[in-house]
Amino acid sequence: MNQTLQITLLLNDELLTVDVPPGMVALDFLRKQRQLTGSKEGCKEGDCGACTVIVGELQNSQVRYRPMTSCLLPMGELHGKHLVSIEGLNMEQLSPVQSAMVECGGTQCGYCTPGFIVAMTAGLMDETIPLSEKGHDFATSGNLCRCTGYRSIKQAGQQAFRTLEPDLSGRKSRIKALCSAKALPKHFLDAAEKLCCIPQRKQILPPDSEYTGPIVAGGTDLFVQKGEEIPDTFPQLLNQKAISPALESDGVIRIDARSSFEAFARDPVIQEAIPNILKYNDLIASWPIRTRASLGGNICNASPIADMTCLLLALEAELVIFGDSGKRIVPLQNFYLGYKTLAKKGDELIAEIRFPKPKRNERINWSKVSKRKILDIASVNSAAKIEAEGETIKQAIISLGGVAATPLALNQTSRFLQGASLSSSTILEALSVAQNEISPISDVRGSAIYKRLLARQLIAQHFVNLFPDTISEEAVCEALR
Amino acid sequence: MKHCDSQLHVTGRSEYVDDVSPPAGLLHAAVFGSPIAHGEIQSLDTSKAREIPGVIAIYTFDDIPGEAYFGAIVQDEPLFADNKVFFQGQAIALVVAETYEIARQGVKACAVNIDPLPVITCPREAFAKGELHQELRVFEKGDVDANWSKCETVVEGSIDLAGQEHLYLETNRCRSIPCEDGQLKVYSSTQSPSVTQKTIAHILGLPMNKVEVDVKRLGGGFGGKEDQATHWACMASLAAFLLQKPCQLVLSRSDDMRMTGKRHPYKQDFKIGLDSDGRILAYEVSHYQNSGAFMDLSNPVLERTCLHSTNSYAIPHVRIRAVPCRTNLPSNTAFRGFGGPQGMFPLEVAIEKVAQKLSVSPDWIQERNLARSGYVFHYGQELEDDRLHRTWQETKESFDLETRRQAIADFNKKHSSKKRGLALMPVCFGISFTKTFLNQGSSLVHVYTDGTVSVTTGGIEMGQGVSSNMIAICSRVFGIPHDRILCNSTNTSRIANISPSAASATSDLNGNATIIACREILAGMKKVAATKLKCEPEEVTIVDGRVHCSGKASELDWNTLVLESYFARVQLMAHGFYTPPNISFDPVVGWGRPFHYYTYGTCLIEATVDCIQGTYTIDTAKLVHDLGRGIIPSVDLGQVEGGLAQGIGWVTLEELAFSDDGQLLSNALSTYKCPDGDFLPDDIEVKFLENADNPGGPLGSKAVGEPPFMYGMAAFFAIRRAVEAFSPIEEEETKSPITPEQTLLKLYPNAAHSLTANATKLKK
Repeated sequence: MNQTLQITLLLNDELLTVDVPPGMVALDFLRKQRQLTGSKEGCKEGDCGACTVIVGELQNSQVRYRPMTSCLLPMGELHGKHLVSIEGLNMEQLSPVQSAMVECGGTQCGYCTPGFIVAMTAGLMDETIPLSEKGHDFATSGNLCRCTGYRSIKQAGQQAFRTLEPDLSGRKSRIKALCSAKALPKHFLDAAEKLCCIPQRKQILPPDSEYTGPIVAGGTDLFVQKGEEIPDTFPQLLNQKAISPALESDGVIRIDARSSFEAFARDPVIQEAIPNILKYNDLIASWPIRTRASLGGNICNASPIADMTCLLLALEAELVIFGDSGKRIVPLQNFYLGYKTLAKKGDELIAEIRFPKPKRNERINWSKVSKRKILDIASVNSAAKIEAEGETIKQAIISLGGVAATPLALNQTSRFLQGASLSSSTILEALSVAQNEISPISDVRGSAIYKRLLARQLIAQHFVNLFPDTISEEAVCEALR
Repeated sequence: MKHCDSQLHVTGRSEYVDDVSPPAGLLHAAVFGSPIAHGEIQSLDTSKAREIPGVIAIYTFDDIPGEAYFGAIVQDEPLFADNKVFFQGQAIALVVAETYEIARQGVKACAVNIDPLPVITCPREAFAKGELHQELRVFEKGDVDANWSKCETVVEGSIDLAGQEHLYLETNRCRSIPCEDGQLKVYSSTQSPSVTQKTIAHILGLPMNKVEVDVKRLGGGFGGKEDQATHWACMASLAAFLLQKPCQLVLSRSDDMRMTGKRHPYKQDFKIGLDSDGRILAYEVSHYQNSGAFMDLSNPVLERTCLHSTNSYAIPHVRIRAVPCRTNLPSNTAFRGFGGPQGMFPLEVAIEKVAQKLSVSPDWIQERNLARSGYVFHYGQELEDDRLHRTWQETKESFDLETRRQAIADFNKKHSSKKRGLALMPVCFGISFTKTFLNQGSSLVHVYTDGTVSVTTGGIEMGQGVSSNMIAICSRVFGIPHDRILCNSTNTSRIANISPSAASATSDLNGNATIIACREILAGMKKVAATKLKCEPEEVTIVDGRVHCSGKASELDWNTLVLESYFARVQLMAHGFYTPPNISFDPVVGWGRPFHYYTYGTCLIEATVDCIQGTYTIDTAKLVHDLGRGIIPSVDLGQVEGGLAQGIGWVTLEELAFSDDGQLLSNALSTYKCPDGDFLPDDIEVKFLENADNPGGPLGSKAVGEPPFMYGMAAFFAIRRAVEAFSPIEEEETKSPITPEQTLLKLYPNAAHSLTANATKLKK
């Protein structure tokens, strides 16, 4: 097959029109077609960050830049965009990020280094990221190094952030300031102008309407599973059309299913509905992955430990699905028929995710335990939406991931809790009910015993976290022994 | 001075094997590995793969023109499976194609029919069935058996000690280019260019002088590319040689993970006995090494396990039993520490257990038993100084051990759902290859007529900074700025018979050789200078590129002197060769002086456990390390911190999971987790022992690569102490790593048991 697509993009400082297979990933394009070998392949599944690039997209005649792992980024999406690799950050002299890395001894074998430099620079370019230690850690959440032990890298990043803080703080757009501070090359200044010149085009659809190639949204899981096959197909790239922000009307929140985790968590509508969403987001994947991973993809991938799906289950989400036979609405918890089996026909796509805006006295908690806190897949995750009135639980929706063939809503436990008293003893009983609803298996994420135990702990923790005045952590801890 | 490659690294301009512009017509290879762990090959069908347009050739065992079997210790490993397969992922065929993608397609189109044979993954089982790479070895000192009855306290236990994936960020790769007259030029990501050269020649039936191996740098090695970069270089070279076209083989991450060996897992039994004063009287340990399918380096790894089984402690009666067991896993191999960590681990567990029994702090027992100057280890070498003690004392004092201990006790009293713990880890690690003959270093130094210098040594730059060290050494010996010096790629045509870059000894051996080469050149140049300046050669020194006579600057500078020397027909290039003095070791009787010297240090780690989730944080790592007189501070510090990080990873997050039938389950970065920046503490503090020149090392330095790895073990014990503050640990077998799963199960032993019992009841 191997059909190509003509795209025009700004690659570093060069406006380029190329014929590429739309499913070819940017990393292969950079290294194999352009001999730009600064981006390294460490894992080709978004787990090491050695191939991190920055992608700029025109938004209201300004370019908005975000980091992405080029190993999971299909070229077909890059028409009209600015693709920046480490080569596109280089100037005659080292940037403050680069020189801090040299000075602090943050590079040894050097293989991960370009990825760190790109990620740190992306962090500086994003106005929403604080110019602090926290901001730096956020920016490099997707980067692994096997040589240094990270202290020197953190020191370098923090030094660079601190050095540039006076130039950047309070700026609406940091790009100009970064160029003036010689932290970015000048070609960024006219990137918007160049991108404006690239003629927009209609969404490219597969040539044959009967064609059933892969459907790619963020691709962060699909490319991990089928990275070797997709370049030979003509994938349907859903992200070619602009993604709309979340909307709230009549107490219902509606989200474009293609919304990335990052866009979702930063949306003011969502932040109002789920006050701790940014904290949860920190525990999900990494910044470059979250800029790509979509809510709809997370749901359709049907992984039993899908983090966002777990949260959406507790929020009582519904899916708006479109297909040849029209539109239908499916409650998220009815969407899973079995392991990786969906109540969805091949022609159908999830267009929208809806959930009722949580009421003022509905409290939400989501937690996840994985081996490593950042950029790891959960052993067990759990979310809860609990409404209590005085000492009585009015309603408690609890979801669990990693304990069954599908993401699970604990309906029996919810029924048990409805109307029950808010007390340690009720919770302990509820934990037993929950145990009967789950059937974890032993796998690489943990033994079945561990998952049972962890499920119990996480459910108990919802109550401890949400009702600290009523439920004493100490008492629960003691009772659980 | 900083790491000499850092400017290239931060701009992405440093070149690794496949970053160099490809030569015209470069072919790509991919490996078809065995789908199962043990069996007899009935048939191999490559016909479908051959039909794919762009597939050029497929090679198997029968296509090897030279010797099909190879190995560093025993030649027991075939390049491609010979009728039988012994581990999942073992290479069966090589697909060569016009592109990498087509080669991968070709691999997927290969099919093999294998009659399965029983799979062994546990070394105890292998031992019971007599599946051994070598007979059981015993090291003995004193009389263990006669002393158990004299002990006040005796504790026994078993250990399941995990292996570790190297996870060099650059996977194994090689590019091989045919040259005139049947010669090959090989660019390999190897720590052992000469082993690679020799094995390629052996496989292809070529004389060694027709194979040139060149290594610019590695994207990490950590031991994983000491003996196991060879396979891929041989395969790329086989294709290049047979097709007479350049060929490149780059392993995907998952292929690299399932096809190459790792740090050896061990099963261990220990018995420790203490007298009434808390002194260890007797210690016995049995090491069942999970060696994997072929010998590889298992024998010397196990030997170092034996040598370091008493770590830093003086024990009068010792018995160490060790056996390399053949299992159906990839052949396990060198990894930073080279068996040393596995030797030290059980004794630390034993000390913890005995401390628990005596209700004392483990560091009380550790301190009482630290070896002092004059102590003779069970293999005959004497401890010649008291630096180990100095590092212990300085760690306790400069990091306020007692204050920290009190703070933790207070914290644990106050908090019901969070507990903290601390542990100390002393390290005494021997420097030298225990195979004495490998202790040789070579350096070739060129001074060009413009005054610039190039140095080539046998050392491989894999991030550890050996190139920077060589430049620093040249700079100091010549007395010229380091920016006049370039460190070249390591190349078998410039340096012959290179020892692997391993055993922490690379800078030592090659640095000393570089000093010898520089001095030889300098001697000739000084004569020229003396004639010019009308003084004696002994009076000539060079400082910052300026020639001095009796300490006074002259008008003569380095560049002029170089040119003058050239015109005077003075030799401006030299080859230095170095072997450390006074080392010898008889591996048969296990006696001698295997090490040039020891590197010492003591580390303190604190951890906090979340007693609801079972997760934990490593809060602080503080250590005092004996570096001698360091060469480049930032490079040395990087080695210490990097080793510590890998050591912490080994005992905490990094969990190799194999199924019972020998499939690697943790076969990607999504399932095998190494530490990241968030996991490792911000509060890492390294102090170097002061006034600690090491006469054996170049410029007074000490080897630094491996010893810090073992500091990481303190994390294991710190987490366990925190767990014990919540719930006493009772276990039949001590298991590493202490993942959040292990932690939670230990926090709630009763609950874990009853939940499972209930679940089983429900099923029925």
